[in-house]
Amino acid sequence: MDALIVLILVSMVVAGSFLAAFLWAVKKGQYEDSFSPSIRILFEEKNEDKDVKQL
Amino acid sequence: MKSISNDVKCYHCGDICFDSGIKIEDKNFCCNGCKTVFEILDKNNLCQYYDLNKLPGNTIETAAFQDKYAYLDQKEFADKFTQFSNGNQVFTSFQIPGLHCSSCVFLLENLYKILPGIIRSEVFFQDKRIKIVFDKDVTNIREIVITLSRLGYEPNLSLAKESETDESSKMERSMILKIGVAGFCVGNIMMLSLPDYLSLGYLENFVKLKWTFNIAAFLLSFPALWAAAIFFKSALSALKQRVLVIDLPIALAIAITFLRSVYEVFVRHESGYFDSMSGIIFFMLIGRYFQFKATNRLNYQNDLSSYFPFVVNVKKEDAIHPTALEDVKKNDIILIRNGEVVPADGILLSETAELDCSFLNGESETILCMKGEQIYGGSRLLGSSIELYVDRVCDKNYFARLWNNAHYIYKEDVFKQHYINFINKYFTLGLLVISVGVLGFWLFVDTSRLWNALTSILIVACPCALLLSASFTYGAILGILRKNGFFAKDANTLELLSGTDVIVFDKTGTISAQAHSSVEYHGRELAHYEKKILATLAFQSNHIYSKQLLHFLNEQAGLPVEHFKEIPHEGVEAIVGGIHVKLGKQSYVDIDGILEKCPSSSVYFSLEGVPLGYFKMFAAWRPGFIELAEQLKKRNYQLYLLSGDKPTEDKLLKKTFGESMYFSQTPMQKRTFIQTLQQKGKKVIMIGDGLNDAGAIKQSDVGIVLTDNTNNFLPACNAILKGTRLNHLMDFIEVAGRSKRIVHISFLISLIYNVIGLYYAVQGILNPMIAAILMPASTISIVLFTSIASYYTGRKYLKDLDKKDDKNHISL
Repeated sequence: MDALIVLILVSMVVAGSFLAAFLWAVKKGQYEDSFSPSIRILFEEKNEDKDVKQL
Repeated sequence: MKSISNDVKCYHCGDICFDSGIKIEDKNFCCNGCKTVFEILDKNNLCQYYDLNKLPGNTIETAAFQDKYAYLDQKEFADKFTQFSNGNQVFTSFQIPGLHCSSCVFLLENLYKILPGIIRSEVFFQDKRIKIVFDKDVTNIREIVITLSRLGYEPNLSLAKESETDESSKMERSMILKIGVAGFCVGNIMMLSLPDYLSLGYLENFVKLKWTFNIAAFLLSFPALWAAAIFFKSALSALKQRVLVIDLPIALAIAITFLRSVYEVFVRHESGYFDSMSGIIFFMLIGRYFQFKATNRLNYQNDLSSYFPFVVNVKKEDAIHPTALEDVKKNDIILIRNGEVVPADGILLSETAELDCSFLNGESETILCMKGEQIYGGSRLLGSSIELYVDRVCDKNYFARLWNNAHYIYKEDVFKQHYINFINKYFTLGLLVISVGVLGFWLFVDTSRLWNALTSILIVACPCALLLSASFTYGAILGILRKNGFFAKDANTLELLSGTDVIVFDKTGTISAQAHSSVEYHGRELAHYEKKILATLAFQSNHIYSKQLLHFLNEQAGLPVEHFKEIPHEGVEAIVGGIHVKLGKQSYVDIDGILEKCPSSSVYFSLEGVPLGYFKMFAAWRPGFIELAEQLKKRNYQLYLLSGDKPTEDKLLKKTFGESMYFSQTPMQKRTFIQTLQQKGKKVIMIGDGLNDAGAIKQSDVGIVLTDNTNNFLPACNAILKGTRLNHLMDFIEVAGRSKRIVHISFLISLIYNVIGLYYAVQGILNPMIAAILMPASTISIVLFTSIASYYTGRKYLKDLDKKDDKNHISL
């Protein structure tokens, strides 16, 4: 049954990394606006602009 | 709603364009975004590459904007809009009230093709905000603001606004963060507790393993406690001020649960209540978030802070220096232009000044001040510019207080009082009685179970479910109403709305609308240029007739306007394109009575002092209004009509309102009328559209402002209703009433859970498993019930409306 202790630790690490991903997403502002990205995907965009826009 | 033939629809997105005046040949557009996109599509035969740079047109008075924003060239002002800079890259952000459809997003995100130097622009649609990154060597803030204004997206520049929206977006972010963390904790602690619950005692044989589960749960409860900090903070600060807030029992429940759990784990080596504790925190935070969302949305629409003066023109040695408001000093001489808010108290140096004090007292009557008179900050100047000798400087907080006190706060406070009282009075009292009873009982029967029973009561009897039911129901209902064009300010509005029995309507602009009216011209034939002059002048005024006229002339306003003057109840005049033009009542325009006297409502006009003709205005009722009135009467609503206009003999109106029509009412009379009704014990809804109703709207129990264009300035009110949705008023009232019932039912549900929990708690036999089942079960079932019930209520009453809005005009 001691294996369970290890498993608990492992599961904590996995869960913790998801939490970290969530924190990162919030900090990045991904939850700020849920409407515009849905329209933005419809816009045509020239590849040459990509580099500039990614700044 | 059946579509009306004379509604003008946007050629691009299909929205109704009210009086945008934006058109190309015979095609109308609702906004500059749509027009521009159309131009591009048209020009390139729908080809893939949109070269915005080569666009003709879309210039709106560039010169005027150049002047207006000249102050942005000064570093100190430009800096205020700079969020931060990184080498040459500067980050800035603006509020854009005009943003309203996907084309707008498209245009604004392609800003870098229009103005060189812009590196990237990103639109936040829900906040109506654009974030821009630009190269400061190539362009500057002023050029950006002018470009935006030129495209028809004039940013709302005000510092109060900036910090406010920043604050609220920061707040939202931190709330989401906390919800996430608490959710993470509750999920994992539950997982770790399951083996214990499910093993039915088998786990007792593995001491080390059980210990690991308990310790892991203990450690995981700390992030949850961090997320709960807001409850502790608000409870503490309330205790210091010796007031009771709802956060107090919550904080108490969390603290007791935690301490008891620590005792269980470390002293008795049993599992604790960590899962219940983080559950409380998680659900309470979600409830908080819903509340925040429900009340926060409306801000950008009827926010007076956009009128806060930001830059003041100080006159020094005959030169004008734009100065930041906080830098204005006593004894300065300042220049105030038409439409600007007086930024300070002072003595008038010019001959006369006409002031609109509606922000201060809700009255639409203007006040005329003479030279040497004291003028108070916060009023708005109409007509020609004045000079003011400052004797007291007002800061932004002063304006906020002044305006807020006048209109906004008082109703909200009543609500909070009521709400807290409810929770405090019944809940805290009940809890106290039970605790004392339990204390007394176990003191005599079995003292060893005393401590156990007392803490259990506090753990179980958390007011969470009670609080959640209100915030979830009202949040959901407000959302549904908003989607259907009824923007209620807060939950209290819903509660008040369901208890009303009298509805008072304003006439012009409320039950009659310019989009459905017709105009007849009498006079000599007008040249194209003359039409344009009239359209330009009419565009300056917000009066319903001006809008009607603009609609009728079907011309784009675009000539330079100087010396604009508006005299309420009379008319407007200005020098448009070098020609002096007057528009208004016959007594104002045609003093000598050269033209024939028109018996019904009409607008006369003169060019260079020569009266040339008049426009006869026929009001048309909003579609569905008569049906609405019938519905309302069936529900025992008393209907009244208050109008500032002359009496009209309209059979339809007569049939609807009977004798309850009052004409030629001044704003003051309107207000007194409402007051008289209220003294008779009536609960009154006032529906109006403009500043002349502001007093009455404020006085009424529920003030509703009707608007066809959400960008207009709106007087303080409880709710804003889209003009096209007036015919559904009865449904909105019905839904509001239902929401009250939903809250009551969910109160009942949560009460049942509390009784079950207390049944175990008072006996001192509450164990972690019962708590862990009971807590989430109660909150989840409450949330489910309120959400489903709200959804069905919305579906039942506003079904056909919903479908209409679903298309959301993604038309690009």
